[in-house]
Amino acid sequence: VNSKSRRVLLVDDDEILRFLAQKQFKMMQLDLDTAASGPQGLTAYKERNYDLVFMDLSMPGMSGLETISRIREYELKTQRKRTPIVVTTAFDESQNSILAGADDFLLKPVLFETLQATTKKFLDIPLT
Amino acid sequence: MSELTHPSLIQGEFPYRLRQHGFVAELGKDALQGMELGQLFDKAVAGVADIFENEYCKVLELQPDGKHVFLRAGVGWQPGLVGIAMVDTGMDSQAGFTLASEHPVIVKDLRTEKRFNGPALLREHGVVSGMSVIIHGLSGPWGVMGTHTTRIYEFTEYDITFFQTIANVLASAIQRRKGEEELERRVAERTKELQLANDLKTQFVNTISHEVRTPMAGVIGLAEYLVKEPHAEDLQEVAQHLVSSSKRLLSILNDLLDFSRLEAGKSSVEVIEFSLKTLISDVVYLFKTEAERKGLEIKTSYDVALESMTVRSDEKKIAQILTNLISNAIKFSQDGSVEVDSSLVKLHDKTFLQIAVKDYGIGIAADSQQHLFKPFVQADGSMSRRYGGSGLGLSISQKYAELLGGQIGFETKEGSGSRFWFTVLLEDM
Repeated sequence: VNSKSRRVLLVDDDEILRFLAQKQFKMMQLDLDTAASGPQGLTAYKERNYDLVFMDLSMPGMSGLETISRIREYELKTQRKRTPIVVTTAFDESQNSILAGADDFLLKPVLFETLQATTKKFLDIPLT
Repeated sequence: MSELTHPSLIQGEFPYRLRQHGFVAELGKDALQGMELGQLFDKAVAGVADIFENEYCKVLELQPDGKHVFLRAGVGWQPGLVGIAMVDTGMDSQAGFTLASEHPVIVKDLRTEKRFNGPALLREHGVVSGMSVIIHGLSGPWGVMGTHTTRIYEFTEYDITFFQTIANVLASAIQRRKGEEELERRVAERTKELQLANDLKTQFVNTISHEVRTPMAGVIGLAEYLVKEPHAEDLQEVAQHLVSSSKRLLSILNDLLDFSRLEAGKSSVEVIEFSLKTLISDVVYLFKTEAERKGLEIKTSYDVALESMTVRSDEKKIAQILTNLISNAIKFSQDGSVEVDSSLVKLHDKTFLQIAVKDYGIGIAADSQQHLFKPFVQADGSMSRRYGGSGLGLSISQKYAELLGGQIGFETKEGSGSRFWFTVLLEDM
């Protein structure tokens, strides 16, 4: 599997955490796009095919849960392949996240090893 | 109309009095054991009617209007009256007369009674003889207890004492129940208060935990990166982000400490002489980068007098309030400017410093405005924590302004922006 061909999207309103995510995915040798809000994330999602999405929940304007619902609606409407979405947030909202259509939930702070393991799991990359 | 032979003449004086005493003892025991009031009333009226061999007995409860009594319990009366009937307490009624006289009232023959005009209830039931006693309350009578018969009947002194004793047992039971109700009410009230305090504490912990996790994610993640990539080319930028994440953690910690000090009443005022203009430019300078990044300009303006003069107050606390207000103004603005205006206000021979921070941001919805200064409510009025911050800034600012002899307030319009202002009393120079 060529990990270079995989593309990940991360939606988070915190600038430092977007910066950090760029570094972390670079270490994993994966391409990452970031978006600073729900609407930005939704636009990015519609423009490109992503293999995995990381989504923050507490954001001004459109919340992460709402963004997830919109993505799921869009997938149904366009019959696009279901993209795995992993929620990363500072509140334990695993229940709500799964209900809204997320596939996994990570509580911040997410350690690099956890991020890597979760990413590999959803991208079907063997853990080495 | 036949005359009823007094039961004591048949049963014997002593055994009959023993029966009365026995009933008083039994009812007293029931009352002490907490028998439900309705049940106790029923037992009392049934027992009294049985012992006196009277057809009717009743408990009337005086209503708050003082003009009516309610038939709480009774035996012998036509169906559909007990628990339903409301009777006037006018002076023409036996109950009203008893309430006014405050003594047991004996009626030998209601048909020839002159003190009052027998009420319809008794007349309709063909009552001739009867006795009424007061059931005492804490302040004034609670109600009246009455026993009645359709035959001529002579109540003795002993009978009066017995009947009044029964009424007193009921009075004690009623008082006790009222005391219990009051206690239950207080316990419920206290429980609710404790529950609220506990909910607030839980919310507090949740909020702080949430607010700490975001900068903590930055600190841990960036440090991990430094360990794994010690030769990366952007170390300077990583280190800068580490510093700002750590500062955010520190500011949450400081808010927590300030808040808890204020809650404990341990926040003291330190008055010094300082230049307001210097203080404001120092605080504004701290927000320079953040404001520029959002394309906002921070403008300052002063009353002419304030341009050069020094003032006496708590500089640190004023700086902290101002920091909170400017931080909010920037957080909730997308564009435009943030205006910091300082002026002197004279009121009742006292001089106040007023600083206002105006923004052209999202403003605050009307229904969210009243909770703004409560802990954990964000300046957009929500509790959803979509914007970072401890959620304590405005709450702390309000308490500081009050501590410095002033006030805090705001004007806002949803979609157009907000203007937050605070005043502090200036010490005489």
